Amino acid sequence: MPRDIKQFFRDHNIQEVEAIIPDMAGIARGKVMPAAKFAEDQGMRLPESIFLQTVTGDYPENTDAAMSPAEIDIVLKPDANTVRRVPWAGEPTAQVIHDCFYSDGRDVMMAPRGLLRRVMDLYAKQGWTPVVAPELEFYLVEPNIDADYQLKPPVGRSGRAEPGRQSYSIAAVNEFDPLFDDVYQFCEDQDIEIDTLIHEDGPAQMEINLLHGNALELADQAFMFKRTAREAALRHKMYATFMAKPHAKEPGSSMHIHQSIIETASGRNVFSNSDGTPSQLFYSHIAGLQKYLPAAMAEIPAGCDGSAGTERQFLPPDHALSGRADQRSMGLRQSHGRAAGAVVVPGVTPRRESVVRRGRQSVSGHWRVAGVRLPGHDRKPETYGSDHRQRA
Amino acid sequence: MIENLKPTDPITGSAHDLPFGLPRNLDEAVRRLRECQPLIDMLSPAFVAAYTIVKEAEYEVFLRVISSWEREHLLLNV
Repeated sequence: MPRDIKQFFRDHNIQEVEAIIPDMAGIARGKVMPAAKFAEDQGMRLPESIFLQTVTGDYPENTDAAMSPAEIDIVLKPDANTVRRVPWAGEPTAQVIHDCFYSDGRDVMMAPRGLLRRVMDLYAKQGWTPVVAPELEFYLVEPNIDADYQLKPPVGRSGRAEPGRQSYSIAAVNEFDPLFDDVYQFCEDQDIEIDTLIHEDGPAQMEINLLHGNALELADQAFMFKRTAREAALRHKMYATFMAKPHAKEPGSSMHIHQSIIETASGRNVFSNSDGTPSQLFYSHIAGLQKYLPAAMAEIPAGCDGSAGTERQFLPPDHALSGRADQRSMGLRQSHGRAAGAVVVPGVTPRRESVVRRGRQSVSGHWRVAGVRLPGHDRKPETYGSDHRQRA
Repeated sequence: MIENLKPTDPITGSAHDLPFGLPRNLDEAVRRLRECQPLIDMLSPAFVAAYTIVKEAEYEVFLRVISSWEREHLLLNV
């Protein structure tokens, strides 16, 4: 166990540890154990088939394409940078995200978090550093004990459920203030950096923006945030759901990811020329998205419901590119903002309508960030958008 | 970016009435992923193999669900 994990355990009098890996669906799996046992362990082990488990807990009938029939154990190594408290736990508990290796040290290629690391390495080979800011949409709903019944919006402080559409309403957010007080406190306890919170289009549909930063850290934060929101909601006898389409006649929830790419050596945003106009790389980035998104769509939604990824009842379609930075009617959108270097840069933000749109939140945050950014990389251009609302 | 591609011209009106450009179901999306060698190279064949068989298994189970729409519109009508 790395030194700083031990120190963290001492500082916070940690009694229990959640040793976590994110699976293909973004579900936290792993082991819970006493802190003392965690400290003694020389690398926790799990079967590699954990990455072939479906969201229903089943396995594909034939797994030969992905895994040796021997079903080898994998070794989990804690990433000391990820150790955090579990603020909703009864006794002092820590969570630590782990990476997965075979006993000979090779990467487990099926592990979503490892994939994100490898994709970030592709950027590094170009001399680039990706910067991302995920925005997560979710609904608050009444507890749904019997899955055969439809979901209902929850009752807030007023004692009533929301009437109609309350986009951007402050009062409608205030309805759930006690819940959001817990969300903010839990996030602070876990170093999840929330930028803004707004009410989205649907009843009790919210969107939270995370501050931009390192892609791996933000994937970890998005992953932790989903647990956090669900836990906070449970305290107030509600569910927080990130499923793509909880209400048939209301807008779905997505996660869109603002992206920019920095030239590592200079800190310059490669999407922008020195005079602030969009660069050639910026246009290639968009072009790559247009070319590769259709093949990448399988990776974007986690769920199965067919039209989810391309529903256009409420939102603009596909990967059309908007012509203006302030136009919202397209899948890929430029947006204004200041880049890290204080240059005003148009970025591209694949709005939910394109990629992420209504993308199943249930996808692993790590995989999603990887997926999204992937295409940009390698020789494929595509990628994704960014918007640099870099909140400097 | 590395292929130095050029995007299509920006659309100036609303894109709502344009045809769909992305796959509308998981079957089709998985098929297109498996046919996209550049993406497979980037993600690694091992990951794409694991991911696609998991998605297929999930889709099979999903298709077995009897929906309330079926009970509402077919139960007493067909």
